[in-house]
Amino acid sequence: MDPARTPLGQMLLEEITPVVMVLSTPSVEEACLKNGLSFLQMLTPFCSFNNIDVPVRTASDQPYRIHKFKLRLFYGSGVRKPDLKVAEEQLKQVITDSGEKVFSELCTDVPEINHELASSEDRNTPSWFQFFNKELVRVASFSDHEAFDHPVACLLAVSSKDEQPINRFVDLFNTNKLPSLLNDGTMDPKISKHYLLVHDNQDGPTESRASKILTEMRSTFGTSDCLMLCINSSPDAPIKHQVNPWASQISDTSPNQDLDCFLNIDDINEIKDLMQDLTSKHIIPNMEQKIRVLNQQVSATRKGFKNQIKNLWWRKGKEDGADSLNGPTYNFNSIESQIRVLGDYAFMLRDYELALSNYRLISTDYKIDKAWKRYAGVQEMMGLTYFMLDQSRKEAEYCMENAFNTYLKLGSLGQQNATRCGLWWTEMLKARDLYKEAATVYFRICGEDILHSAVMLEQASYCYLLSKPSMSRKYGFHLVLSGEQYKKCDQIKHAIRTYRCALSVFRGTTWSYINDHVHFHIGQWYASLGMYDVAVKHMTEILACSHQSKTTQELFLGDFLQIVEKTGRTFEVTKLQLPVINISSLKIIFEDHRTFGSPSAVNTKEGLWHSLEEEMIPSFTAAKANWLELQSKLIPKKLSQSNVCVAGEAVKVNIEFRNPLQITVPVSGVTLICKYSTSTEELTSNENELSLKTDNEVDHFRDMSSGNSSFLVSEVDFSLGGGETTMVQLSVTPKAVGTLEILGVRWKLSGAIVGFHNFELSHPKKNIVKGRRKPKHPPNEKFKFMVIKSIPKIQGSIHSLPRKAYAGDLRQLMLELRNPSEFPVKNLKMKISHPRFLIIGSQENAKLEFPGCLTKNIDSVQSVTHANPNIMSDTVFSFPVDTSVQGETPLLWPLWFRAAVPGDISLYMSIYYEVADISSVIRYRTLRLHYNVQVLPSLDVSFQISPSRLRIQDFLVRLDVVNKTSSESFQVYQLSSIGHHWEISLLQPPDAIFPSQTLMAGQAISCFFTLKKSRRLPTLEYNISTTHDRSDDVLLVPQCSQDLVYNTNNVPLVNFHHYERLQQKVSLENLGDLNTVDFVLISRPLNSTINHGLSDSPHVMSHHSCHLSTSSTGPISWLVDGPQTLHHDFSASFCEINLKMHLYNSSGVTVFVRIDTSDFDGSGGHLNSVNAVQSATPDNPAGWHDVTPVNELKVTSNALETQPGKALSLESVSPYIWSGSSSTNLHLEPMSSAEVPLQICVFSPGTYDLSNYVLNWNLLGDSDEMSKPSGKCQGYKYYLTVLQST
Amino acid sequence: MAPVAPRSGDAIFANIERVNAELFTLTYGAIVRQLLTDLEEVEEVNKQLDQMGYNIGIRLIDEFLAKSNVSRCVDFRETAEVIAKVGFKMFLGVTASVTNWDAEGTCCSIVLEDNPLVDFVELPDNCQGLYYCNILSGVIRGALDMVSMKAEVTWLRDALRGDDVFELQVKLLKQVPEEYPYKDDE
Amino acid sequence: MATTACFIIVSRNDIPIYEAEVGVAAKREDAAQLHQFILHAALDVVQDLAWTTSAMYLKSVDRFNELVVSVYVTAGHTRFMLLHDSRNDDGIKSFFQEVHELYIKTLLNPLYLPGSRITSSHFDTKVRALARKYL
Repeated sequence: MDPARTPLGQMLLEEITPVVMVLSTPSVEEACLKNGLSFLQMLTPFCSFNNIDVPVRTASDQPYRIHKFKLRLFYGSGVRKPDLKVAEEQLKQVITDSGEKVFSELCTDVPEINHELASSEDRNTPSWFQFFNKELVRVASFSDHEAFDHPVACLLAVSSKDEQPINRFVDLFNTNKLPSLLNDGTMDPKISKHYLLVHDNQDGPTESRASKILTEMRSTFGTSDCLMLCINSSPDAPIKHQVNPWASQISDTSPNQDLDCFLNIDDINEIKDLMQDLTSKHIIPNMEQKIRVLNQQVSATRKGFKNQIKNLWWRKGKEDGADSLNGPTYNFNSIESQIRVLGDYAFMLRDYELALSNYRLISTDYKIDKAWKRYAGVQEMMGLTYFMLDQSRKEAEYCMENAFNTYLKLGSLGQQNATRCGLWWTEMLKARDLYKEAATVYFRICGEDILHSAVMLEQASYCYLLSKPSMSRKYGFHLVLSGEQYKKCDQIKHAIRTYRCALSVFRGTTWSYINDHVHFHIGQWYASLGMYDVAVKHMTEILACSHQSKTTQELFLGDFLQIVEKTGRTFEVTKLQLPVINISSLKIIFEDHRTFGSPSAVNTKEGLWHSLEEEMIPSFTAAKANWLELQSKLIPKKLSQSNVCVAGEAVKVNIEFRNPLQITVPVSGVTLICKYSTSTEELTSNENELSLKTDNEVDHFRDMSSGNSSFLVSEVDFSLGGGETTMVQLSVTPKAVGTLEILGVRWKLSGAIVGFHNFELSHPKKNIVKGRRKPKHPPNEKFKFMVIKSIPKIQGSIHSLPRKAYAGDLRQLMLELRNPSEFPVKNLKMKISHPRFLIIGSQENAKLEFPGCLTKNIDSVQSVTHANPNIMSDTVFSFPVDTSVQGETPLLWPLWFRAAVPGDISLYMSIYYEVADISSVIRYRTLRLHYNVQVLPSLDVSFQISPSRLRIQDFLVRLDVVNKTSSESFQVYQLSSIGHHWEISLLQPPDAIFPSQTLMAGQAISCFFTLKKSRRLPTLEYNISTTHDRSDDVLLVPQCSQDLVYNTNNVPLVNFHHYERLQQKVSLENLGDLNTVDFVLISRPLNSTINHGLSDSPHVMSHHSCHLSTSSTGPISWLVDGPQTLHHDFSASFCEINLKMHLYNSSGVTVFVRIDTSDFDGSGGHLNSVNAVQSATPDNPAGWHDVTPVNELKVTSNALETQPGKALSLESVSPYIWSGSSSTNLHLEPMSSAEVPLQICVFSPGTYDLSNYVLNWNLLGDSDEMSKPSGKCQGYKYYLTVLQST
Repeated sequence: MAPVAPRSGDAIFANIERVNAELFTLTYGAIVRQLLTDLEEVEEVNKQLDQMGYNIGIRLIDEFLAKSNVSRCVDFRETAEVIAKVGFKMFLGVTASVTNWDAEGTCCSIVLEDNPLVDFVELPDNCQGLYYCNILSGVIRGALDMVSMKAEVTWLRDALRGDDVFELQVKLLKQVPEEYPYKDDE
Repeated sequence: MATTACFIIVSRNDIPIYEAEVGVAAKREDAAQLHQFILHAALDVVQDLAWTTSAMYLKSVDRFNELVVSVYVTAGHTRFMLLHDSRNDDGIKSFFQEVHELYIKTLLNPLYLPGSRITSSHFDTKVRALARKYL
């Protein structure tokens, strides 16, 4: 690569060229001004020669030829340091209008990054960059520490009109007019002068006066240096040049107006040759000659060993003298300056080796002298020379860096030079494709001057982009940096430009802060320029900045809103990030054949409803099939899957809005965007055109949302606090048959800006209520609804269903059904999930007041139908055929509610009804109701039954009631046994049990009853007694208090009891066992302090406990009958006592019984028998089923009480022996009793416990069942006291 | 009638072939992750895990009874002990402790100090409410089901939710009595 | 302890998945984005360097004024980038190594899908503790 071809090479050939100082008289100028040019301007175009073929011979002997050459002309006044201020202004101006220019065409969209790369070559060198850099370089010109700006020649121009031109020539060049640089000795004032006589042909012919002057000049100054130039030789008519050589000079005048000049072609040619031979015949030879002279001097003084030593020694000598910042001052004739001049001349004449050698030579000197600025300058030149020689790049860069740093060290004086050096350096690096390094240099160039640094940074960024591999991120970063600088020196347009370029890098980045920063500032700046629309577009990007601090968020939102309001209209944005829509929370609720009573009913699982409705809905699939095919008549097959909704009934959409910010944002006018079309084909058509037009979605949405008469949309306003989330329910109500499609949602943020969200485009995970069809739906089907003509919809509710209730609370409720529409509905059915809690009453109950209907003093005939539990099995309850729900009058239907067990119960009930007219797509509908009831524990009732030892088949019932509530007190009112084969009676009068008649909170009471089998033959049927015998009800309150007795065999108690039985059943074999008894304890709350939390105070509470087995010891019960005390004279003989054992078989089958009596010596047997007692009851070994606590207690307790019993009997009781048969076997028929004689012998008076016998029993009879239950029964304590008779 | 069951599964664990713990953990993790992606709701995932666990349990119990010669447990307490001491040791290599018996002895807590399933696991915000180890509860349920105990297993504490340990509450709902087909005597 | 230290984990597709200002210097508003800019720009350098060396810890790859960017590249080409003005090289190195272990643990969490943001508070506290310890 030829260095001269590179941009840097070009620049150097332009900038580092000989300077010619021009001195001219005013008359010369005015002669030129006729052409609108100054004398300088007139000459300048002809000072750069593209092919001036001059042989050059410098120090070396063989000549070489120079082709491209240039002179720089300066007026004497111009030969000085340029004024910084002016330069600055000029630069600023340049940048500003370039900014205008570039910005105007950049208002189009941001260029893509790849296009960036492609066009970056010319982008990173816009004209104004070049110009800017050139200006920066010029600022540093005419510095005193370098010599290539020294004038090599002086051109003195005098007009022929001047009188005594000779004198004019002389005093043109008298010293006091010369520029200071020549006078103060920085430059050599003895420069070769050239005397030019300028003759204006319009003043008359040449020869007369001008030639005379010329000869005079020749005689005075010598022939060689005197020249004459004739201009304006064209007659008065000014001529136009099609190619205007001065176009570049006069930039201020507009180029189209080509200056009319009196210079005709041969004038121009004359100027051209003039300059040509001035250059070739005078200037260059002068330089050559000077180079040779200087070279000889230098070699004389400095070359050679001796000189080196001397030089060093001498410098050491004057070491101490000078250490100012830029070292000693050298005037032009000091040897250092001359070496420098030599170098520069050589450089300008392209004799780089010579230049380099001299630079090397001098640089050491300057270094030693600490003349840093000069040193830097020399280093700089060395670098350039190396570059031009295109050898040892390392050296070149080293030198440049060295120079650069040295300049920087100088601080402010070195600043411009540093900049220039840096620019050259970067150019050098660029020329060698070291863009990355160039960028870093640019970065180092930018000093405290903001504007410069902005431009430098931008150039740096482009360098990064050009570097291979291109570093786009660095590019972006530096663009942003430069943008900030631009902003600082309010070059807004440049700032925006750079930021937008940066945006092409950062677009779609997840680096949140970067994104926010760029968008926010672009927005702000656009706003400051008044381009609000673009500003808003950028600002919307940063609204959801959850990661920012609160203040920043407020700042962003505030500015955004300001800008929006400045625009004065409401914007509509497709992707407004505020508030955030949680699309996964999207839920569509619609009612086709299923209607819901409450939102909670909606949220319950579909499967649960199905299981509930299965047997209600007649052959579900079949029904579906026939309405499907009926549907398929109406609409094409593809839509057969689509959701069905009824005209006039709202389709609800639940969707979640989240506010990511920490500040509250008001959201208003949240509505659904829906599309309604009367026919389905149309829908399919603009279905796909919807998919096409996602771009101009906004207006599409707008006309969608614009008031369409065929459906109503609800509108919601709310305000989202910082970081909070709200679920919003929106609804759309179609009015006519057709197809409705929900497209999306629109909202208005803080009254200023409208956002849209399209459900289709963001394919969410939709959990639509009908999860059953989920897989079958393509996503867009989810939002399409086939609107069918309106059909009746029943609304239902249960009146006065308590939210909280105490366990056992029994009350009557009303189910109210309304049918607002005018169409009738037929055969209603109803199904309830928990019959244990809620059962369906009869129409008659509605008439009765509550709780009176529970008591017995109403005739129970009318309740017979419902009292039979067979129809109360959990099948569907179907309303009577004649029931019609229509119009105003609601259908009221009584329900019975009983809080069965403590806990949170959710009751589901579904009501099925059919639409009267067949034409409808939907034949039937179901109304689904869901209620939650919290049941608190109230009374804990437990029974313990033990066989009475007085009479066989009598039992002692111990009732334990504990009030588990915290504050309530109850009145235990009545105990009843269900089914008529038991009779209970109190042992003590009630007021003995309840002196206060109340059971306080936490209080526990226990009372005893005797339970005996009723004489009537019991059957498993629940036969309803029409005759009230009180034998199975016991009032636990004194009769005086109330006289009514609750009829436990009546609806609803009996029904509830039925379910309780089913619930509490332990295992199959003792269901319907005759030996089990069911109790119902009825209690009533006394003081109505209950109605805190409770809707109303309960009236009656029933507590059911079922399957209390009387035969805890197996099928048989027995009784030992004999004397309690007797007198006997032991002196006479031992005493024989006869006892009788009555056995009764209470089971339905024959029992084989063996009575084993055992004596005390086999005391191990007792222990076995103790174990036997425990394991004898095979249906409940300890802890192996969910028995009520009381049972558990009982088992353990009697296990415990037998243990010490034995122990006690062992030591204290004196022995006796069974004298009868040690073992007796007998068979007991079902329900039959037998007597077995027993006999014991005692030998001394005392008290005897006759409990050590064991009854082994096992059921015979129905031997088909593989396992025959059998067991042992330990004898119970029977104390016999024998006294010594006197 | 105390069974001669080993009171800890160390012996059995010692000569059961093992798999790399990380592989095991990550495999389970992959399963859970997949479930989460498939059935998008945490509740569903819990159910599914429990179901899978159940299916494992009903198979595992036989293996368990075969390898560890645990004879019939007299009551639920003993069963729980065996599960904790032998079962967990045998299949997870960790031992659990049984605490918090209620009065009826039908409900207790199995406490796991460390749980190989949850190495590295940390519940992200969107998966709160996930019972990561729900498979374990399923296994226990299934296993108990096979020995005719209807049990209900719920998590009381979950280390993944910031508790210190894992606590499984095993509540015996109902025991289907298995009658001894012959008479006791004669 | 470094006055300024900004730690960022960048996933293999250049998305920051964890960010923490672990310096003791009072957090300035604009600091955050400046740090992000610097680190983001430094990615360019990293992607050149990463393939030249086999070491995971490429020391300080880039600098902006007095801020230095040190980078640690895991095998999965996840980059730990630390912007700091302190000078203890080995401290930073060990910091990176410990964070790497933490990161591996996070990766092993089956509920964390790789490349997604690390939201675990546990991880966060650990990292900050390490920063206090080493930086």
